[in-house]
Amino acid sequence: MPELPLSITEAAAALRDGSLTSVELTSAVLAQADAHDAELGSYLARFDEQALTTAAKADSELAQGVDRGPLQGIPLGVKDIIASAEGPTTANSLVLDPAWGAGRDAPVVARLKAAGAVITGKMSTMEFAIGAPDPAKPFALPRNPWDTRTWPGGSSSGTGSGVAAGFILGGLGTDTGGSIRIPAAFCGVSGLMPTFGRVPKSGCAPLGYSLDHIGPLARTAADCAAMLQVLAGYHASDPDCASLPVPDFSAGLGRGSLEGVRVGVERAHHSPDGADPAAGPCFEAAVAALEALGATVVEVVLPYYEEMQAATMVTMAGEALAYHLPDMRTRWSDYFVGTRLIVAQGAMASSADFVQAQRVRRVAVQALGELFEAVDVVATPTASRGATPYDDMSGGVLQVGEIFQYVHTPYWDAVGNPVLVLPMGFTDGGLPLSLQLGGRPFEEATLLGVGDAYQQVTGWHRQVPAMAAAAVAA
Amino acid sequence: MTQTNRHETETMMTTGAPDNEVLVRAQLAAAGIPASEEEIGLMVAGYDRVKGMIELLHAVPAARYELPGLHFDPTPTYAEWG
Repeated sequence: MPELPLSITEAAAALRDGSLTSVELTSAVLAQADAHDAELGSYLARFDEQALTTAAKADSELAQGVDRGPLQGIPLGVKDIIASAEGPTTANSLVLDPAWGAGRDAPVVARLKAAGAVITGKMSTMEFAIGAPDPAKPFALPRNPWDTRTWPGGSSSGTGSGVAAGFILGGLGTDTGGSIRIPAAFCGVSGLMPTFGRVPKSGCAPLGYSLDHIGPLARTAADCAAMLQVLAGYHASDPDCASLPVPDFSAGLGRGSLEGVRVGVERAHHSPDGADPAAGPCFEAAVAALEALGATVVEVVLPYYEEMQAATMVTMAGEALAYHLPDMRTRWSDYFVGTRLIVAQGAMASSADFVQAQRVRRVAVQALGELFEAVDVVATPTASRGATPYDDMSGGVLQVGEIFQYVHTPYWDAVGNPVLVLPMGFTDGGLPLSLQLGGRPFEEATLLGVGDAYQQVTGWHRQVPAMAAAAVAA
Repeated sequence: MTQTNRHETETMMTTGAPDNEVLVRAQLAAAGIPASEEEIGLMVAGYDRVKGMIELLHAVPAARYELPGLHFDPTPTYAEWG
């Protein structure tokens, strides 16, 4: 088996300089999954035959000079709430009708395929992208490759653990309250929640219609840029999808300096009791690295912080209950316990409460826009702890209300701005910690440029768990 | 650091508020959700937190005359995917 390139960017170069073929690369990542996925539960379904056929096609095309861009011949995974023609979408649930989306590609999957990507399979998720693992249900308990006694984060669990373990070089996640950023943080990889409306979300089982974002998880900011370049752009099937030109997301990469970039550092809401002792020092070291690159660093306070966390929860529960109510009435016990408890909260808020949440979201968007007149990027920790140990979950059930005391993601879903997360160090126990960078709406390129500059001077994104270390060319 | 009036919120939550268990059971019944007794107990235990979030949203003065972040387009633009 050849050594695996660590990133999409490195693999794309290797496919073009003749040092690697897509069939070799795809075979190697499938072998890596053969060796370790029984421990991790990253995959819900694998498409080995189709993947190797696509890989052979990529090799043939590249040999003939047909270059579809950096995703051509690259093994990628798809979170299993997004439809892919190779097999049914389960949403990690007993409830979703297997006929939904059968034989069809969601626009994001179709775009990856058109770019020549090799779809290796469907990655595990929290049920319908919400809740927590339920050991009583017939789905694998997802585990973190850094420490299999811990949760890999969710809800895009399998995409996060799969990238970290070397099963895929990147993949699709979705983010409604943090579901791209939490597994990216807990698994020590990069992840991008694009601006709401940047990427079409049709063909994805909904969680919160006005909060859902589809985006990439991958090793680096540059890899996220390569994936977003393919995913972004208007699609008529999603009424929320913005009809805007798609910029060159790689334009800010490789700049090597952050001169002229203003970074607002938010500490006010991000230092909870019970934070890991390494979280603060790792965050301050990350801020110092940005400053050393030439960025101007100022202290900021995110406006309406608690209100936006509340708006995310009230909105998500209401929108999710509207979708799930018929099944919840008739198939209640088929749902995971965590899904039941969170979605049922939608019944506790009135329609007036729901509309009020949408009014306050507009107030906060305006206030945040004023803050972004003074800074280009807002930096916070993604979480103040490493991955949650399963032993800390009551009866194996994650207490979602508790996790958001130290996971700092829901604010950004309510306002819809783009957010990039990047590895920034480790706890004393060897679990990854993560830096979160928020930006102005539709200015993902700025975030990706800052993230890439940070990763040029730090090595956290190149750290891999032991089970992947033997396979990659780190 | 919230931008709402906490005292006002707490007052609203404690004056004349019906019993949490009564409210939770009534709202679940109205929605037709067949939660178990154990699950109802968990929801009752978490109900103050849910109400607190909701009241926080109603206590934002700047939202008094704000429009909701919802938009409706009467143009029939529906398109299929996949």
